[in-house]
Amino acid sequence: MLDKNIKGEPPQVEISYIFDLHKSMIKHKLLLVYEGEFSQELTTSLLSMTEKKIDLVGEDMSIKRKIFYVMMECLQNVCKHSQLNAEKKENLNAIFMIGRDENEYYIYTGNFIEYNEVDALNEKLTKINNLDEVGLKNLYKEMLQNSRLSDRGGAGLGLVDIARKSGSKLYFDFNPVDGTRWFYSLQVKINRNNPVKNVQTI
Amino acid sequence: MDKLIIEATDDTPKIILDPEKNLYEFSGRSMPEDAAEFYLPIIQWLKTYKESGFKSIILDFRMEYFNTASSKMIWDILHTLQGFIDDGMKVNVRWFYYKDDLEMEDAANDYSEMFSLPIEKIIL
Repeated sequence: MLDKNIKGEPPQVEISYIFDLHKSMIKHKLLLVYEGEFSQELTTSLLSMTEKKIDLVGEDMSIKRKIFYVMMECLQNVCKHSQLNAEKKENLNAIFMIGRDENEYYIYTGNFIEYNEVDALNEKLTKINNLDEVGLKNLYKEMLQNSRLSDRGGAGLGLVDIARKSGSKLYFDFNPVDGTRWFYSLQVKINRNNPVKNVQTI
Repeated sequence: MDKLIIEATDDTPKIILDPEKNLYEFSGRSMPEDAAEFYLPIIQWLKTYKESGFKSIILDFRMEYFNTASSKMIWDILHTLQGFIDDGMKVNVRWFYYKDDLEMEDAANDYSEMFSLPIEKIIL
């Protein structure tokens, strides 16, 4: 005979948020949401899960490639921060989401950063957003030339690449969490209808 | 001179550096977090190759995708090869990509603009 408690009694913990979360995902047109620790292995898994989701609608190869490039750099940026947090013995999870509507894909990341990183990051993102395609190309080349190997990917090279490959402005926000930590959110759009053409200088 | 062959993994490309077959080729996906760890031995191999007295090299890139950490290391490889040219070695780089792959074409253009060494674009 079944235990009465597991038969039809209301659960002890409120779980209706599962339905709320589901509705919220539909409302915001999200294909995939991950919250937790980030690593290189996870990056590879998220990329292949996203690829499968995108293949279901037979997305154009050039759009797929852009999503792949942008996701990779976004996720590796979050990974780098996760490693720094781990070194400080802080376990601070981050979030990744990808959504899609008729016209665009939306890639989101959110992670904790130190309050003293906010200004520099804000400046870097603003600088990138003020550049056009040729400006971004030149900045990218300049950074390739001047960055050192120890920069782990070139001190912001990733963000410039995200802007170039997506052809979109970088939408970002910083929210204070406590005295030392802020939450950094980033959104990148990829247009499904007008693939970005490559630029040549000279 | 020993050859250097590295099989492809999920996040690193296949590397063939084989003087016996006269084949020098990078192919596949390159997206390691620590690109320096992967590419520094390759740069070292190229330097040894030159020091061993070889007078020419044709290096083929057949990349599907690479991340910015790898793009920095590819820059370093091309920078190394540029130095070889300045020392009198004959160096050719061939950059293979599919016609609709704007990202790979863009990458070839970026590098071509940064070095005087010949980077031949070959459309597949």
